[in-house]
Amino acid sequence: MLETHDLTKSFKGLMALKRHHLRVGPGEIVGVIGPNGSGKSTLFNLISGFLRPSQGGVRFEGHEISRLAPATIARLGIARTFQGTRLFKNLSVLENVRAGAQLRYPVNLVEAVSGWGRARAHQTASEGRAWGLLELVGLAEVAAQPAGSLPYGNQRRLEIARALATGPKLLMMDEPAAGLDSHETAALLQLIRRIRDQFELAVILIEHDMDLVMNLCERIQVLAYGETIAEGTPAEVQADPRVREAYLGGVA
Amino acid sequence: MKYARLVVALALIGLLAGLGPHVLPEYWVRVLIVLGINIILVSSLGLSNGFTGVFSLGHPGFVALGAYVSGILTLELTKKGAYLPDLPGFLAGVQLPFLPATLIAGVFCALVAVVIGIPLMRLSGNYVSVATLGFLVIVNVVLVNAEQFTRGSRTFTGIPPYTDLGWVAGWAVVTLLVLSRVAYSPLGRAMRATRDDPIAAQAVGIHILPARLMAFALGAFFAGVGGALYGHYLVSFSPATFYVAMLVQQLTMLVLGGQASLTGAVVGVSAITLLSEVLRNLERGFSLGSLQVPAVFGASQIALGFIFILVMVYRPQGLLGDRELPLVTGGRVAKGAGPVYKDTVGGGRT
Ligand SMILES: Nc1ncnc2c1ncn2[C@@H]1O[C@H](COP(=O)(O)OP(=O)(O)O)[C@@H](O)[C@H]1O
Ligand SMILES: [Mg+2]
Repeated sequence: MLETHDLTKSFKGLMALKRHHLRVGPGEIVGVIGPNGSGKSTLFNLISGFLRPSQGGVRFEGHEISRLAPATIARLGIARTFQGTRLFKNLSVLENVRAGAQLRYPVNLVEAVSGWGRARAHQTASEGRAWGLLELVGLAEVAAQPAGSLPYGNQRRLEIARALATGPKLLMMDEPAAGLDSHETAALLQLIRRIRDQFELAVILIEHDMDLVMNLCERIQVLAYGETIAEGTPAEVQADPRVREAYLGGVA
Repeated sequence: MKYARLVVALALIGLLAGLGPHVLPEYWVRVLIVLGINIILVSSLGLSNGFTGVFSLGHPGFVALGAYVSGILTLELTKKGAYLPDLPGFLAGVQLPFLPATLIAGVFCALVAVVIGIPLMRLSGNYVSVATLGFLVIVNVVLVNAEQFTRGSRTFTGIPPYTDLGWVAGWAVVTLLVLSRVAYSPLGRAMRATRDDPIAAQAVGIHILPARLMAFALGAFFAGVGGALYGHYLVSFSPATFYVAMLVQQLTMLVLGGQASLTGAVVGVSAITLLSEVLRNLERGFSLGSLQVPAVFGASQIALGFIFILVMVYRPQGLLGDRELPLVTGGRVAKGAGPVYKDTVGGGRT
């Protein structure tokens, strides 16, 4: 479904990602791990169109997408969350999710002003979808609050709901567990599993929390200094000496 | 039932417009006309500045274009021959009624906004403010130099006095209706989303340029309409009428009420209009008991500048923040979606 081929990005001589290859099939959960600065977020930015590759490209469902605008890529069915969070902080929780849903329920200027055409039906549909997703992530009670006022853990869940609202086939999450306590992380794990099963999504997960990654992912790729140093099942990756070295004997 | 409030509002406005001129003193009719025109101008400015966060300083440029376009299109042919003898043929021979001239003025401004917006709306934060200020300066210079069309810096006069309370009330209602329906539709949500976080907006499929361009062009349309109304109210004006003083006044009204609120625009316009009237009377000097207060010319200008600064320092989100009357959002926004809108002018968003 998704395939990066020879994907390379250099920032003024600094090779952030080198000749990267990754294939993700429908419904798969793939983890991307690696020390800070190893190029994981760069990979997401390349796939979602926020960066242009220096070399190589990205194919999604057979089409080359690496020259498309981020919004166009989102419309094709790739959704993402950001390291840290990026919410529309002055919009309510519900409005944030509806902002995600509206690309599936477009309305033009004439319809918006007159209330004719798709205006009514699409409003109902997008609102219904948004409420459903808020229920799923457990934020329905705070739907009317401004997103910026939520505690951190809830902001994370909201960002996931907003990404899901776009109706993606592939969901990419950049360090979703960072800053969460062990309780919240366990809940996140359940949530990601449920999402994958319910929406039949492929998931790419960047994460430092090894418990989460090892429990959740079917396949893991390890980056260091932009290079892919290992790829395999959690067990294979944990056993790999290069991975132990990259993490200074730390986690594996 | 659904339209009950709208019908009541229209009836009240119709009553005001119909009876107003007969029962109200001339002075108050004029105040209401200016108030209504400013509601059109300031709420349309709010769509780009408050809802998309593209803090434009070019609005009076569109007001000017609207006033001149409608003025040229409606001038009596004999006056045209006298005041604008060098008009090109197709303009020299036309004399349109008020409504088509106003609509053409609005569409003309929207088209200009699209043309200049395609490069400008890609800029961010302070750059877009500076660039739109550049647009205002260019419009001014062009109007001064295009003597063939505008009589240059001399007064453009002889414009038919079409603007009355009815036209202004009607257009103000149309403006607020259209703007509120857009602002609280998916289109407006896209505008507010790009304001809050352009990167996240793109990640959920919102293209930045069309969202900003729509706000800018729609704002320019109503600026053009408001400019036409203002032109036919003043009856004579010059390029200097639509310059920095007008910009400061519009910005003060907008930020006082709350940039991201149409209700706020109306509140800001009303407050400043009242204050200006009071100050204008004070400017002429008055006596307080035995104390003689001399005339202070320019006091209202100074007061506007002060209010603008005070609001920016102490309450940058304005009186209302992003709160709206439920009538404006039409229940399309969940209640309690609080007034947290906080940002300074053109505050470096990318
Ligand atoms: N926009 C950018 N401009 C310049 N350098 C960047 C940019 N984005 C990332 N980098 C650099 O690329 C390298 C990889 O960064 P990143 O992909 O964010 O790592 P990770 O997410 O794995 O921690 C780092 O050295 C980082 O400083
Ligand atoms: Mg990162």
